[in-house]
Amino acid sequence: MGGMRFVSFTGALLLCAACGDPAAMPTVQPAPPGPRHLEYDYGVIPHREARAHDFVLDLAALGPVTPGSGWIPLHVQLDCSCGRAQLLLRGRDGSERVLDGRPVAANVPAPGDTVIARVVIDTATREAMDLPKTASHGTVVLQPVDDRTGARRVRWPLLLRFGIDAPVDLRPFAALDFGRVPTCSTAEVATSLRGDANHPGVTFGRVVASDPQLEAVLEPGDGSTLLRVRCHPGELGNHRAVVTVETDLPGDYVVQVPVTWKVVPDLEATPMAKVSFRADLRREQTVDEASGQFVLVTDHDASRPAEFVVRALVDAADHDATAGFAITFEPVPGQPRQQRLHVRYLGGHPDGFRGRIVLGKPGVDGPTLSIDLVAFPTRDS
Amino acid sequence: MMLLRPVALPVLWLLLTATTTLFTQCTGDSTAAASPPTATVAAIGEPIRLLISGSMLGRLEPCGCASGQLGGLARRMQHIGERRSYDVLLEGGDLVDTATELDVLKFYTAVQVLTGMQHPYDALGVGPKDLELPLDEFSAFLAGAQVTAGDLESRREDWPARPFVEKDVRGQKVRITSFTLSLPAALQGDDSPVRLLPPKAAWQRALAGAADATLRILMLQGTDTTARNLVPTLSPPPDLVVCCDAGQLEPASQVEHIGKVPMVFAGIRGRVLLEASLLRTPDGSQVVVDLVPLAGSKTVPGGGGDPDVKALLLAHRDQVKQDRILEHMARKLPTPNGAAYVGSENCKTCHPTAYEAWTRTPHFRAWDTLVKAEADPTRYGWPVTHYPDCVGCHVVGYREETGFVSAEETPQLAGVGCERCHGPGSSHLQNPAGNKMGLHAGTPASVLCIQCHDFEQSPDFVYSDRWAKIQHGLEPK
Repeated sequence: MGGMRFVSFTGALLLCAACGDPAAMPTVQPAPPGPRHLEYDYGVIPHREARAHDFVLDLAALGPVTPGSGWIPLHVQLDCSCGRAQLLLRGRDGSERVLDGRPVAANVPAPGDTVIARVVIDTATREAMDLPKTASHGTVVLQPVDDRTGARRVRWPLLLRFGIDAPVDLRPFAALDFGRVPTCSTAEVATSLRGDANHPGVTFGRVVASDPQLEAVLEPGDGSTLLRVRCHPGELGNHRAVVTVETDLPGDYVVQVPVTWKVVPDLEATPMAKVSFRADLRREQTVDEASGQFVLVTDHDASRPAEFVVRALVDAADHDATAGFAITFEPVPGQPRQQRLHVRYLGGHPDGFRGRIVLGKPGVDGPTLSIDLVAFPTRDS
Repeated sequence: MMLLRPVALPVLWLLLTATTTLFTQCTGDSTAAASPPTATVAAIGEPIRLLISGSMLGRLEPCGCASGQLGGLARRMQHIGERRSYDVLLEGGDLVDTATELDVLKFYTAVQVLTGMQHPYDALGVGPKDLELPLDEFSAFLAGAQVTAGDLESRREDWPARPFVEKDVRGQKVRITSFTLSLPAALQGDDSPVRLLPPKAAWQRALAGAADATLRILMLQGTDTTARNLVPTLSPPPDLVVCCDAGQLEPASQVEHIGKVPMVFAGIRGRVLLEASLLRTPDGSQVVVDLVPLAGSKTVPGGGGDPDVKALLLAHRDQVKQDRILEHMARKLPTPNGAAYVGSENCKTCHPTAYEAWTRTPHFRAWDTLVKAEADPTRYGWPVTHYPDCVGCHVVGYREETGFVSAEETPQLAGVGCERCHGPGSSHLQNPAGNKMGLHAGTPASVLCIQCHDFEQSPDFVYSDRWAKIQHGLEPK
């Protein structure tokens, strides 16, 4: 988007100033030496089910910290978004106590206590798709009881392997995203549901959408069932909901399809209602210099003409500033409701400008669209 | 998902509703009344709901090269837009990792998203890496944003950071400051336009004019050890410390404490956000946290997220291509052993078995993978083959002298060839016996791999598993 472009970037100016690594690759701090990782294979988990495993940490592997001291298990970090973990101490009598993460002596395991990292993989948090066997990582963080700064913490790695088997295939979408939905319109997306090779005869039942702005129905398809979801925009902004489809699969399995959308006004400037640029503000810009200074403006309401007119161009104090800028519109090929609004600086604001352009519709008093306009002077201007 | 919550906190904390937040933004005017509050006064009210992140390090979005990647500005802003209930949005600083041309463009885009869209951030901290950027660009991009750097002073007229920012949330004042704690080398001289204040003085300045009941939040750029040493010296104490510790890859699901002061971690790269509810009680500040992993859909193009942010990121990608940033950044660094890259074909004659093994691996096809991904609109829809962050892991020697420049100019270096792991081979080619090849710059294999196969880009990477897929031995001499 040229409207977001700063024209002053020059290669010579911005050469790499502080690149220490060989090729600007992402780097990770090497982990300090620690115990060998604990590994567990959860197998292939049926979708929407959870599996738990207790990793038992033998703190003797860490060696003594200092005489009379000990290690405090603090917390567990997991890489995957569907994992949950907690740390427990299991006493000799089998009772369990959840550790609260505080580095205090009360959380040092007593003699005979077993330290457990209980890691649950909950596949219900993932969309209904098969996941081939994969690996994921975690760490248990432990701290010596006499360490007041956390500088001597140890990270004990965990390696988790698991896969997910979803009994229903959703194609092409396991999640639905309507993108932008203007208030004047409705949007519709469909995806097909079909039992996988192990569940070929599955039938689908009631469909429920968690948001009243969504309307979801099932239709027979070609060898599958079509889930058709219609979005009635509602309140402006981002939205998320879930469409649930009942099945006759064992365990009351339901298919849950996440749905997202963003309701936008009928008049909009994208990707943001702002044009900012840097230029030598002591003089008028040439057309070429200003070619990247644009924003896309759209009127989604087809009952009105697509064209816009400039109602006002004012500075931050609401004073007229139309003499300082030339505003032009250019059609966007293939987008009849959209235009490029170009801004070219003419002069009169050598120290910079902050203000706004107010657009309206030709010949009517209807809605308006306000676009911020910011011009920075180049450093030597 | 957090399993544990401090039991002493009222259950009501967990039932926060999307109460409309009426607020006014105030500037951190360093000329305000000079005396900071001297005592902590309990102010029991509704908890303040925060969303915390930091150390984005240039990760505007996951690259999409592996499944299960988390994070990204588009998903973040979608999440914020859906919730509509956060009182204060905090970003710790270090939006970028280095100061290349690409980083300047990234910084600009990140600032636009965080400050210019529907849900502008209430406080942006300043990290030392941010200050490596050209100060003209840094200042211009942040002009007008809610930027705070409590321990920095500058003589620049356009310096965008304030000693603090303050927000009124349902009548409760929340004051936020950020400590950068260190300056990049280029700003450390006597004539530097930016000066670092001692923490105690900076804290006093940041609290100038604050009422006792004002909630005090300190974001700091440093390790938790730094925080543990620093925070006890601050009076009155912060109600919350947000530690932007690059060693803490993700926020912890449990709150830590420095004395009675709660401390949370922002994590890095914005993969997992931290929700926090902050309340001051007679016993001190209490915080409840929850993790928000920003997972995406595998079947929604780009993994989902706010469509306007996605459009802005797409514009950023296009601009990177248009400005030929890939080529500009190439060949700027010396090779580690001073030799030149020659391409894998030159290895084939003496190492035919290893070469054959390589041709059967994804490394051999790494460039084609990028080309195909770019052509697939459901996966990308943007010029991946022109984006330095992506290209660097799919070619040999990008950014180094004699290394990859572009598919047209250096086709022999497209793909992850022999020299990506073994280093440039010209001297070995001239004198194989005298100039033995090992691993690139003597880097251990496991560390070499995670330069690309890191926790984010290869979340399922296990060295022993992957080595089995690319295994190749020494050739008989």
